[in-house]
Amino acid sequence: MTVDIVIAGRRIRLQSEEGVTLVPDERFRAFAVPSDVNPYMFIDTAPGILADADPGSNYAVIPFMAGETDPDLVVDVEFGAGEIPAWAVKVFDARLMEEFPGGVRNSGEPFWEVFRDDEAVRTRVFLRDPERSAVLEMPHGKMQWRIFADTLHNAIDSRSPQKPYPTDHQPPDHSDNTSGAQPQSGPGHDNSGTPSVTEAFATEHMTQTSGDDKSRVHSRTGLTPDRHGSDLSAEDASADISDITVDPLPWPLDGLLLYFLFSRAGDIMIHGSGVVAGGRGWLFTGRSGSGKTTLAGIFDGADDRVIHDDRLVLRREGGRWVMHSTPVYRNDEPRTAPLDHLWVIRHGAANVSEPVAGAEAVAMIMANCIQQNWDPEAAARMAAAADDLAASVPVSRLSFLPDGTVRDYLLLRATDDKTVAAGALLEMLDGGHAVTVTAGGYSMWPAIRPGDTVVIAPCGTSLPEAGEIAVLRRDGGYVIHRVTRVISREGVLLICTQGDAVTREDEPAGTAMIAGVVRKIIRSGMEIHQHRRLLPRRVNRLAAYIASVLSGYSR
Amino acid sequence: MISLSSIPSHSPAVVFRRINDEFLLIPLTDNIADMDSLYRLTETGAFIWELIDGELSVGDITSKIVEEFDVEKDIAEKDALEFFSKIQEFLQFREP
Repeated sequence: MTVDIVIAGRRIRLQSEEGVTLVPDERFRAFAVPSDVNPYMFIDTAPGILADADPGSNYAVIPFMAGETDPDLVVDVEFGAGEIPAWAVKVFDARLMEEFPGGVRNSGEPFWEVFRDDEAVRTRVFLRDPERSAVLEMPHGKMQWRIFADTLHNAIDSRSPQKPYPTDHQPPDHSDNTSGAQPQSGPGHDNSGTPSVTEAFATEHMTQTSGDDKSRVHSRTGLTPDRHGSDLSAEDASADISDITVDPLPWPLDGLLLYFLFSRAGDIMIHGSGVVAGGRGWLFTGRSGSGKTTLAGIFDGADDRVIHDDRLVLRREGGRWVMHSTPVYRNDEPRTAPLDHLWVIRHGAANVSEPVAGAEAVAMIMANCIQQNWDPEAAARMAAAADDLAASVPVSRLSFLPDGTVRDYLLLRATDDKTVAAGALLEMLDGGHAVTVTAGGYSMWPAIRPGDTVVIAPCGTSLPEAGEIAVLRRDGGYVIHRVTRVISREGVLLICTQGDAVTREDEPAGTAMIAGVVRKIIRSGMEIHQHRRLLPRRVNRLAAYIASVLSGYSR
Repeated sequence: MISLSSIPSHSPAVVFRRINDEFLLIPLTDNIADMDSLYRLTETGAFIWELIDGELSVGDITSKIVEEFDVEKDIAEKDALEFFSKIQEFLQFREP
């Protein structure tokens, strides 16, 4: 049988041989889709354009549409213990990390490990039963992997992440009444959008049962009724392959598979709370105990949409970064929103947001990413992705009060009307006047930093030269970017520009788009000379140390 | 013991990335318990890091620091040795 699960827009096709029935855990229910539709077609990220978007928000209910269905990853799920070849080298060893009030500690208990040889990377997870482990095999360069899921679906590990939401507890219900397409979770609830596949998911009640109730599980799956006798039990697991019902993604193998999938794609998997407030996508990340859940609760209580409050995937999609929910809790569902600002949070005595940039911002992002730093290529990909993210999306450090005032603080901060100011600036330049503005962004970092005063002169009939910093009209506003070259295309002069801190060149602009040229940059009252290098008083100040505890590997 | 004649090269057990004027160093590890820190080299540290090529000695690099920056040689040597010892887990040294 085949089960397709789509997470963060990436389609994972789980398949098994006849006689092995795949019953993923409840937490994947809303992420499973019939294999002949594409649930993820991101049309545009502007408010109101998405087919099933909530009015007035740029949150998208993932639309179910027919279309391309090729999976990003195929996983053959087999029942039985996977072998780690004797010659494979163990490259990573993770012990079970226990959460306790105030942090995370190493329990010393084996949890999962990674091996590598010439053929493949393999990861083995230890399940509750010491006799059982599951193995994920990833041949180098192939997106067809194998899972040896030595676990019956109802032998699901008791360590699976159920603690935050007790069985009878519904997590903050982020859905609202305007979007009827929200799948609801809960025992026996039919997901009308995906009837044939989601029925295969064990409901909460079912996963808690043992022995006697198994026949009910099978009748509820509705998939292979003829093959399932009511006498199947864990003890019979090895008896007859035709009677096997398997959890293909036993925790924590699911998180590892997602890590490897997203890591290979250059995406970022991060611990945080993502919300949409005032039409803006905000992500709050931080160590365990820094207040992610508190913040999600504050925004949820104000009827903002919470994308996820624990683990998200960030992807560059087209021109921007987008955040996605991932299945962690049993009533999670696919949710997504463009990312407009990322905050690294901590509890504080006041609400204060301070911008960070450059290596510091990249380090702060990486400190909260899910990662395994044994593979240099993966580490380099993550650093590149975090660098691009930090250059594309504003990153700030946020200390906040847990009383809810932080929401107003951030909303107020975000609603400065910059459009009016931009119009006035362009009008002044067109009238032949020099203007002075305060820089606000990072795209020209470090030549121009937020808070710098920038003196802009009109360019009149002359054009800026390569190396000069130009002011270009853009979407009713303006951008300040450096001219990289001036080209002639079919007799038309075009100015190519790029932000110093941005990895991509802008679309070439016609000469009419040039509004002015930067003549001076003033920082702290001093005119900045671009090429002068100042010596720190002592050279050994250079080795700045960041004591970032990289939390969250255990999940 | 690192001396002015020692020749440093980057360790294969560290991944590094230039970000604007700085470098981020990501130590590789085989164990979750050791995976707790990233290191950041500021502008001057990045200047030195980029000079490390497995050919130039600590003394050669110090000369280039003195050329680039307004600093006296003995101070630069002392600071460079201190800097190299601080980041030695990311380096391998050989003697000529």
